[in-house]
Amino acid sequence: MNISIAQQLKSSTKAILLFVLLTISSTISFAQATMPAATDVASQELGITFWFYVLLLIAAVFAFAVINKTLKVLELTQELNGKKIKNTYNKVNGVFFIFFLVLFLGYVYYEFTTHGRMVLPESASEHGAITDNLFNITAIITGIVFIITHILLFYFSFKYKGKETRKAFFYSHNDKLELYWTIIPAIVLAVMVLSGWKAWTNITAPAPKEALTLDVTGKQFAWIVRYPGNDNALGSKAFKLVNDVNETGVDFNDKNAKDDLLVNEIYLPVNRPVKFNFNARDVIHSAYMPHFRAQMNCVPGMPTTFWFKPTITTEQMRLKTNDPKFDYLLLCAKVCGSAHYNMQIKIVVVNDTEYATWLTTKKPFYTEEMAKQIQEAAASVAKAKEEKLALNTHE
Amino acid sequence: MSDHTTHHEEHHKETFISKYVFSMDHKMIAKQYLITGIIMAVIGMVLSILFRIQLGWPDESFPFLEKLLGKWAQGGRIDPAFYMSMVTIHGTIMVFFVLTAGLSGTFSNLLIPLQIGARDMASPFINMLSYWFFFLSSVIMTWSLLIESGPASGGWTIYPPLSAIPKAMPGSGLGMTLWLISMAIFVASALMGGINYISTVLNMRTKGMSMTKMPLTIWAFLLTAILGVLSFPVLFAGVILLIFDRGFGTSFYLSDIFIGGEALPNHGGSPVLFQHLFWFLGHPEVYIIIMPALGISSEIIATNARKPIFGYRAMIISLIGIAFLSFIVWGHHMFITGMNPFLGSVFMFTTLIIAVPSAVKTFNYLATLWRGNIQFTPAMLFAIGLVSLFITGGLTGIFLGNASLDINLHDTYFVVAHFHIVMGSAAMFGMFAGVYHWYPRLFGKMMDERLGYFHFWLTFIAVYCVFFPMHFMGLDGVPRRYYSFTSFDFMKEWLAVNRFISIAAILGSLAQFIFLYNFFRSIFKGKKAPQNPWNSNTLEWTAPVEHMHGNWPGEIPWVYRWPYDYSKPGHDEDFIPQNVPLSETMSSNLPGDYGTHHGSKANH
Ligand code: HEM
Ligand SMILES: [Cu+2]
Ligand SMILES: [Cu+2]
Repeated sequence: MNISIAQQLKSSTKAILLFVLLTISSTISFAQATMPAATDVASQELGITFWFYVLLLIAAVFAFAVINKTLKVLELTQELNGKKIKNTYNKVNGVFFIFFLVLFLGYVYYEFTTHGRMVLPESASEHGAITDNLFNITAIITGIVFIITHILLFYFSFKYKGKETRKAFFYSHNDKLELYWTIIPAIVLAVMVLSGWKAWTNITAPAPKEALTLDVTGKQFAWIVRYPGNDNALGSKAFKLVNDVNETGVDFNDKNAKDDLLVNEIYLPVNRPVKFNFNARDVIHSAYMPHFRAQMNCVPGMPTTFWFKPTITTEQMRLKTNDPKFDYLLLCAKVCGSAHYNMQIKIVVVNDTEYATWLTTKKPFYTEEMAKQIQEAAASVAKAKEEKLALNTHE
Repeated sequence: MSDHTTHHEEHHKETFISKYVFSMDHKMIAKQYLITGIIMAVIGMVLSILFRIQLGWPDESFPFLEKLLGKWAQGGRIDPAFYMSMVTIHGTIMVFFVLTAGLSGTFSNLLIPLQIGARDMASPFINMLSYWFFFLSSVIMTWSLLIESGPASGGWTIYPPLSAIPKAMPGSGLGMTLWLISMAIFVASALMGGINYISTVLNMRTKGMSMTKMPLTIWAFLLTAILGVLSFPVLFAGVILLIFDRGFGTSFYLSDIFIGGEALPNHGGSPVLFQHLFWFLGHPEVYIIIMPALGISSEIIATNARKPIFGYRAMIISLIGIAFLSFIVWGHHMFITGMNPFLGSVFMFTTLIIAVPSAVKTFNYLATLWRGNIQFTPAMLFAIGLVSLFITGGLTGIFLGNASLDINLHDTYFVVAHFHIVMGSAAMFGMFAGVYHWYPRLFGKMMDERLGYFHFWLTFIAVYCVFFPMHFMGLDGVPRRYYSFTSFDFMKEWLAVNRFISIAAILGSLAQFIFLYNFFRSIFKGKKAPQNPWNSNTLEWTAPVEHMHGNWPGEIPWVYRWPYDYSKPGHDEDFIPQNVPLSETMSSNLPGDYGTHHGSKANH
C-alpha cells in the first residue's frame, strides 16, 4: 500500500512538472520584444517585469514540487504509524483555511489600498458626487458583510474540521433565526433601493432649460460632435440625408443648421448643464464619460439623451490629480467592431470666458464649398442605390 | 431479484454503438455530456489564455502565436478582429456549452433518476436526442473557429446591428451564421433535456419520495429545467428574427443604418428589441447556470459537514424565489440603453430583491458548517470555495443592480469581475465539486484526493488573483472587450496589473491539467469505488457500483425520510440513508419525522 502511493505520486508529479516546465520554457523562448529593448526605457521595463514574473513562475513550480514531496513523506509516515490519512488531510485543509483567511484578508486590504487608489478621481459632475457617495455607502455595507461572512466561512471550516472523535451537532433549522436573516438584508436592501431610486430619477429627469445641447453621433470608430452655434439651436437632421460628407444627415435647409459647428474636441463651460443628444450611424456604441459618471448607449434609429453638470474644469482637475497631462474623455464602451478599443474624443471643461473665446475660433461647418460636396456625395449615394436596384432586377 | 437481472440481460443485447454512442441510458448520457463539456471547457480555456497573452503583453510579439493562428496573428501579434472572436467564442462556450450543458446536462442526467429512485428518464430517446443535438451544436461552434472569415465576434451577447451586418466586422459574416445555427440547435437540445427533467421529477419518484423529501440537488435541477423551458424559446425567437434580418431583408432589429458608404434600406426596427429578447433568456440563464451548482454544493456540504442542511425549507423557498424573480430582472442589463427611466426603477427594485434569497442561502450554508464534523474531500473544498465566490460576486451584484451606480459601471471591467466570480468561477467550482463527489457513481472509480487538494488550492488562489483586481480597473473606467489598453493614457497604469492577471490566469489554467490528468487517469487506474464512499444518505449510493440498465437490480428502494439525517442523536452511525425505515431507527426518531411522513401517507 505504501509503495503504491509513493509510486503513483512519483509518476504524477513527474508528469505535471514536465508539462509545466515544457510550457514555461516554450513560452520563454518564444517571447521576444518587438522593439530593441535597449533604446526604449519603457519596453526595457516591460522586459524586466516579464523576467521577474517568469522567475516567480519557476518559483511557484518549485514550491509545488516541494509541497508535493513533503506531503508524500507525511503520508508515508502516517501510514507507517497506522493513522488514517483522511484525518490528517482534514487537519491540513482546515489549517489551510485559516492561513487562507489571513492571506485573503491581507490580499483584499492590499487590493483596496493599492489598486483601490488607482481608480477614477473625484467626480467632475454634480450627480456624480451623489452616486459616488452612494457607492461608498454600498461599499461599506457590502464590505462589512463580505468580511464577516468570509471570516465565519473559513473559521468554521477550520474550527469544525473533521475528527474521528467528534460528532456533528444535529441542527436542522431555526425559523426565528432564518426570519431575521431574511428580514435584515431585505431592510438594508430596501434602503439602498430607495436612495438609488432617488438618485436615478434625478439623473434621468429632463435637462434644465438653460442646458447647452450637443449632438453626438457614434460611427465606426469615431465620434461626430455638433454644436448649435450662436443661435443656440441645433438644426434638424434626417436619415435620408446621410452621406459620406454630411455624416449625420443634417438638414441644411433648416435655418438653425446653418451656423452649427463640427468639432474635434468637446469644450464644456463649467457649472452649466450640458445635454447630449446621442445617436449612432452604423452599430450600437456607448458614450462613456467616466470622469463625469455618465454613460448612455448610442443606438441607430433611436435617439437617446443624457445630461449632467460639469463642476470641475480640466485645469482644476489637473491640479487635483497632480497630473499635468490629465484630460477628460468620451470613449466607447459598447463593443462596436475591431477598433472598438480606440474610439475616443477629448473633453475640455473650461470657464465661461474661455468657452466664449473657443467658440469664436470655430467656423460653421456649412459653407458654399461644403454645400457642393454634400450634393455630390448625395448624388453618388443615390446612384449606388440605383445600380443596386438595377442589379437586383437583372437577377 | 436475480430474475430481474436476467430479464434485463436478455432484452438488451448491446452493441458498442448502442452502449457508448447512441446510448439511451441516463448514466451514459451523463458521461457523454460531461466529457463533451470538459473538451469544450479546454477549448474555452485555451482561447482565454490566448487573449490574456494579448492583454498582458500588448506590445510584445510571440512567434508561436503566428504558428498557431496563422493570418490571425501576423508577426506574432493577435489581430484585433480575431481577439474579439476569441472573446466571443470563449464566452459562448463557457456560458452555454460548459456551464449550461456540461453542468446541468451531466448532473441532471446522472442524479435525477438515481436520487429520486427512477429506472431512467421519462423519455430515454428524447434524452439521447438532447445529447446529440448538443454534440452537433458543439461541433458547429468549434468548427466556426476554423473558417476563413473568422468566427462570430460581437461578444457572447451578439447585439445587432453589429451581428446583423456582415460589413460591420469580419466575424459578422459566415462566423455569425454558424453561431446562430449552432445556438438554435443548442436551444433545441436544452428544451428536450429540460422537458425530460421536469417530467421525470414530477412523475417518476419512488414510493415515499414526496417533493419535500427530495434532495436539494433535485429541487435545483427541477427549477433550472423550468427556467430553461420557459426562457430558451425566447432566445430562439430572438435568434430566428436575427437570421431573418441577416438573410431575408427584414427589419426587426435594424433601422437607419449607414455603413461602408451605403445607406441600408432597413427602417422601423429596434436594436433594443433584441436586447430585451436576449436578456429575457440571458438573466434566467445565469441562474440556470448557478442553481445546479448551488444544489450540488448543498448536497456536498451537508454530506461532508455530517450535518443536515440548515433550513431545508428555506433553501427550497429561496430557490423558488430566485427562479421566479429571475424572470423579472432582465432589464438590469439594459439600464442605459435609453429605456424609460421608470422601467429602470422597476428593474432596480426587482434586482435588489433577488439578493435576499441569495443572502438566505449563504447564511444557511454557514449555519450548516457551524458545529459540523467537516470532511475535507476535494468536493467539499470546492463547495466551500463556491460559497466564498458566491458571496463575493453576489455582493458586487448589489452595486450593479443599483441603476444610478450602474451608469458608471456598465460595460466596464467591474461587470467582468462580477460575473466571472459569481457565475464563471462559482458555477465552475460547483461543477468540479460535483465531479469529485459523484465520480465514483459515474465511473465506479475513485479520483486521487491529493491531486484534488492541489487542484483546489491552486485554482482558488488563482481565481481571486485573476478576477479581484478587475473590480478596480472597472472603477477606473476601463471598458470591457478592449483589445488593448495602450490607446488611452489613463489605462496604461493598468498594464502591470493586466500582466499579473494574465500570469495568474496561465498558472490557474496549468492547475487545471492536474484535474484533467486525475480525471482521465482515474477512469482506468483509479481505485475501485466502494458502494457508498462518502457515507451519504441519498438513493444513488444504494444502486450497484457497476452501471446497469434500470439502476437497481431488484425493486427500487422506498424512501422513508428526508435526505439529511446526518449525525442524528440516538443513532450509532452518523448517517441514516433515505431508504432506512423509521421502524429500524426507533432510538433516533423525532416527532417531526412521523408528522410529515404519516401525514402524507394518510392523504393517499
Ligand atoms: C446578488 C444577486 C445579483 C445581482 C443583484 C446581480 C446584478 C447584476 C447586474 C445589475 C448586472 C448588469 C451589469 C451591467 O451590465 O452593467 C449583472 C451582470 C451579470 N451578472 Fe449578475 N447579479 C447577481 C447575481 C448574479 C449571479 C448569481 C450570476 C450568475 C450565476 C450573475 C451573472 C451575471 C452575468 C453573466 C452578468 C454579465 C452579462 C454580460 O453583460 O455579459 N449575476 N449582474
Ligand atoms: Cu464604438
Ligand atoms: Cu442579470
